[in-house]
Amino acid sequence: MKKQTAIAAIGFAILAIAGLMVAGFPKRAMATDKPEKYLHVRVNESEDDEKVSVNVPLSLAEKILPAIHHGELHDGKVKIGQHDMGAADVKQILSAVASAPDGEFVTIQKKDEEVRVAKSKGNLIVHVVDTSKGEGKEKGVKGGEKVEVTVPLSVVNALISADQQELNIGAALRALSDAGDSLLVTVHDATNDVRVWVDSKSSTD
Amino acid sequence: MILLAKVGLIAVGTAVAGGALISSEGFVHVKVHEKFPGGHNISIVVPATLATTSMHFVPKRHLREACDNMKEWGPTVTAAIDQLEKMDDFTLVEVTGKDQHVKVSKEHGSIVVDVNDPENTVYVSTPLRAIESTLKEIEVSASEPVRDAGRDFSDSKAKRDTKDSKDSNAEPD
Repeated sequence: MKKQTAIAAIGFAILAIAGLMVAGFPKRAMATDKPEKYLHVRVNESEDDEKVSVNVPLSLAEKILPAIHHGELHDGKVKIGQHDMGAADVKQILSAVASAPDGEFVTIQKKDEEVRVAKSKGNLIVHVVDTSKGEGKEKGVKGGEKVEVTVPLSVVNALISADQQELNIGAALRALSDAGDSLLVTVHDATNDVRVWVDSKSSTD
Repeated sequence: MILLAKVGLIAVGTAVAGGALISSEGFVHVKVHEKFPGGHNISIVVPATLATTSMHFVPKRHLREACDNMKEWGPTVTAAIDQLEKMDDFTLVEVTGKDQHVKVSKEHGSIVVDVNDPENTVYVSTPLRAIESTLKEIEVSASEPVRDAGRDFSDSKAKRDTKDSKDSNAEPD
């Protein structure tokens, strides 16, 4: 009787191991409870009736970034300041903006162009309207191009947290992940609509 | 009767364990459908373990080449796979045009590429674990010394060098 029980136990053990091998060990259970954040890019091109959706999990970008060693990008940091603008200049500007009170920093108004850079409610906002590109000259969208960029200041601070000659992209991604759902970039012209945003949904729908 | 039951149980257990071992890394699924008249319709489902195992039969010099090529991006791919394995299913890229649809997604532990255009439909599903194992296998195989017909060139060259040096030392005597 004992022998039969032992054989049955071995049989069940083999079946159980086989089942685990097929199913794979539940690695997902080891993941943290923090909800996954996705960086979404959505491009709608009305001329060709084409839609492009890209959904990048921020945790994936965070893990991949330090492994990339290519060009100016190393260990999640990108070297800046070798070309037109000094690294210190970029970082000083960003640092000054981050520590300044809410308000409008830059306003350019030309015949067919309008640029505004402002800080409001913990966000850095860049607003550009260019009506020179289209046939229609009216302000707004039709015939021209409208760009809105909204970056949480926590991301800006993270970006400038690296050494003098670098921007810390990895830290910026972590800050973006910690910040709430946000619409980062919208570009709208006569034929294209581009939206970049962060939320907890795995799809753009 | 009891003996028959024992044999049956062991046979079933071994068969299931064997099957589980073969399919432990999932299955690579390739489906191609050419839409024009007389076009091919291919569907292949292969245990991913075969891809890893087949690396043993690829000449080492080719693996070394592959290893050199992926040196820069290998760690990036490995990091991506490690993280992807922990994540829920999601669509990475989706392009929808007038008459075409392309989708790259992570589904049930596999990377799935699905293309549907006026001429073809292509579906490729590759388990992440299989990609990881294959990359590791390439890395390990490429680091092994090159052997041909059971002979290790690096070993035999070293032995020959040692022999030559012994001979040259022995000459004056």
